[in-house]
Amino acid sequence: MVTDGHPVAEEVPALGTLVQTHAGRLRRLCRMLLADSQEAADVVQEVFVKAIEQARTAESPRDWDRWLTRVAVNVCRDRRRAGWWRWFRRRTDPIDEVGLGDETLTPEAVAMNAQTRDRLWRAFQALPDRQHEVFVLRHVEQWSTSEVAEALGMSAGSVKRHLFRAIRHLRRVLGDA
Amino acid sequence: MSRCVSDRVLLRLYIGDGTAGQRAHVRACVACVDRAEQLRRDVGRITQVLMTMPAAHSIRGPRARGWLPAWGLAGLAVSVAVWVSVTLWRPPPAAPPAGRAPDMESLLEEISTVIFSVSGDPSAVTEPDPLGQSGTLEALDRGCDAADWLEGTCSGTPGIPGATL
Repeated sequence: MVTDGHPVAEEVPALGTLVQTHAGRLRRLCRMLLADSQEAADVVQEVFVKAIEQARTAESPRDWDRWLTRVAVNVCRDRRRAGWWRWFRRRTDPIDEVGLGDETLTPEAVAMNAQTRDRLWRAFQALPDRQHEVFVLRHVEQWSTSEVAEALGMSAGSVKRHLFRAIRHLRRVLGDA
Repeated sequence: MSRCVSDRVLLRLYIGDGTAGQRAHVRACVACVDRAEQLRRDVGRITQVLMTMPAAHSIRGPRARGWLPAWGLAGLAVSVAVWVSVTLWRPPPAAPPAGRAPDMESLLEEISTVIFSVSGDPSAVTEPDPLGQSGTLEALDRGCDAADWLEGTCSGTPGIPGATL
């Protein structure tokens, strides 16, 4: 693989492994943050391009897992905040999407009717960006509060406050079902 | 039971806040243990559901119809603009053609003649006599002297045209 005349494969020898290890997880993360499979795939691609650039220009991060996740969250946030992205999303609604193949629903989640799931999804998408990110990193990525705080550049107290509001809101939606 | 923590506090404890006393109570109280377990299960269910994206059309239904209000507003704005242009806005009056100017001039002259005429007869036009000079001048024409004025047989005031004693 040669990009801009530089043999990337030699400079980032673990790139293939990196993609294999993290692509699925990052795609799921981005889909949760963007609610759009195509956009999520684009973001993941952009994240790996940034990873290549990072590996070229500076010393590689010690923890690629954290680094990739942090970059993915930032790129998703940038896309959500860009006005054109909302316009683009409304104009290009895909016909249908399904869950990722590696997801296994618990019996309780399966039992939950489709209407409740849709309501939960809508409620989640309606949350502010920060609550989105904090909930995903804390409960989907299973990061600790301090790790989330460091990744998002906020205090641990702020992380807890966002998490509190997100869970309270989503639980109300779940309870109303 | 009365010492049981509220749902709010229970959630605070779940995310890592709360006091040591509250934490100790939740660990010891059977009811609170159940509530804490229910909270944990709910969050787990929420996370599981969110990790599987539902059909796009179902979560985007309301947004897909978001163009309706926008088009409605646009249509209303166009309607208002058309109504304003048709009913309220009038073009400035066109300048009268050059050939009509003398007509207007003659009309104004006629009006002024009628206004300053005697008894509305345009032929009997008199010049305005704001100082009342006409009587004095007539008396002088008739040859009035000072005695005539003193006797009152002449109108006007000698030397002061228009004045009367």
